[in-house]
Amino acid sequence: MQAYGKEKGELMANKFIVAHIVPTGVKASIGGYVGDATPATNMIASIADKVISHPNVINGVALNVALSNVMYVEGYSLDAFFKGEVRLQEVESNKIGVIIDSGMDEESYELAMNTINAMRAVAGVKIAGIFRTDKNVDARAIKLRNGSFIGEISNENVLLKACKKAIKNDADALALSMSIKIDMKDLKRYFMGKGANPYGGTEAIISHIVSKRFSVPCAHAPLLSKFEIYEETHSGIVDPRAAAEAIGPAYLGCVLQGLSKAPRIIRAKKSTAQGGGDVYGVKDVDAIVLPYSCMGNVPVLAAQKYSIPIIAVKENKTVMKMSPSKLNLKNVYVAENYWEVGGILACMKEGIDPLKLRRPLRRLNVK
Amino acid sequence: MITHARISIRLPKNTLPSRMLDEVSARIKKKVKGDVVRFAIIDAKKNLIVIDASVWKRKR
Repeated sequence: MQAYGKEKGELMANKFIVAHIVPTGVKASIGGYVGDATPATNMIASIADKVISHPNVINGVALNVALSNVMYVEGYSLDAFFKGEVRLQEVESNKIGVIIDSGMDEESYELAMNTINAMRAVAGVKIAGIFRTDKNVDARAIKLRNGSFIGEISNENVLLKACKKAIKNDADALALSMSIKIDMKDLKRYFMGKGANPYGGTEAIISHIVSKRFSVPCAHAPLLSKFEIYEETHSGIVDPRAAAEAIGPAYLGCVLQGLSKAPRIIRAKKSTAQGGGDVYGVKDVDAIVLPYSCMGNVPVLAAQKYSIPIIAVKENKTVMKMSPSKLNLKNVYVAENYWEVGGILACMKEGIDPLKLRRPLRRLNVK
Repeated sequence: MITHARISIRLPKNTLPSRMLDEVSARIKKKVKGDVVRFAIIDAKKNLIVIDASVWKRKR
C-alpha cells in the first residue's frame, strides 16, 4: 500500500461514512458483472457506519444481498451529491413506480410482472403502479475502442412522460425497465468473462436522465426480449461473476429491493428536510473507494475539492487508464486489493494514521 | 436524444487538483451544446484532458 499527498486530518466525530464506487460499462474485474462487488461492499459495510454505493455495485439480477447500512444511490444523484448539489435522506421505505418499455414480446412482460409480484410477496416491496411508455424508448449500446460501453437514446420523452405519471400516482422511487439493443456477440464475450457488460453504459444514461429530471431515487433493469431471455439461460456454465444472470434474468428483483429503502434526494439549498431520517452531505464522507484506473470521475474530482481521502484498488482492473498520477491527485491511498482496503478503513475509523502501520516510519524534524 | 461526445479541454497551467472539478465542469458547459448527464475523464497529458460525455439534446 502506498499513500501520497496531503493526509486527511481528524475524522468526523459522528458516523464513519464510506463511498464505494465501481463505474459501469468499464469491465471492472470486481463489480463489472452482476452484484460481484457485493462481498467487497459488505466488507466495507462491516467497518463503516454507512456505505454510499450505487446500483451497479450491488445489483445481482434477482439478488440484492447488500447489508442494511448500504445506501443505494443512482449514479447521476451520486455525482450531484459529490458536487454538493444534493444531500441524501434515509427513509423507512419507498413506494416504487415501475416504468416498462413498449414494443416487447409478451414473455418479456410476463417475466417483469412475475418478478414484481415475487418482490411484493417475498420482500414486501410497495408498488405505486406499473406504467408502460407510449412507444419504444429506442435505447442502444455503443462499444468504444477501449472496449467500454456507452449508450444512446432517441425517445427519452416517452420515458419521462411515463415517469411523470408514476410520480403523480404517489411513487417515491422509480424502477425503470427498458429494452436495450446490443450485439449478441458482446453478450457472449461478457458471459465468458472476456468483455464488459454491454448493457451497463446505456442503463446508466437512462437512469441519469430520470434522476436529472425528477430528483427521485431510481434504477434500471434491462427488459430482455424472448431471444435474449433464452440466450442468457442457455449459455452453459458461465463466468462465476455472471452466474446470477444465467440462473434467470429477473433483473427487476434487485432494483426493487434496492429502491425500497433508497435514500431520498434533497436539494442542498433546502434548509430542513421534511421529516424522515438522517441527512448526509458530501462533507460527511470520510473516504471513497474505487478502482485504481478510474480516477477521472466526478466523485474523485469532488474528493480533491473537499479533501476526502481516496482509496484506489489496484486489483480491481478496468479498461480505463486514469490512474491517480495522471491527474496529480493528492490524498490517495493505493490498496493492492480489498483486503488492504479493509485495513486502511479500520485505521481511519479509529483515527489511526494508516501510514503508521507501514515501514519505514518517517522521522520528524524539530523546526 | 442522448448521444455520446468525446471532447478535449485545456485546463489552466498548474491547476490544483482541488480546483479541477470546477474548472472541468465550467469548460464542458462552454464546449458542449446540450445538458451533460454523465462525464468521465479518460485521458490526461499535462493540462490537456480528454472527456467522454453523454449529452442530452432536447427537442424544441
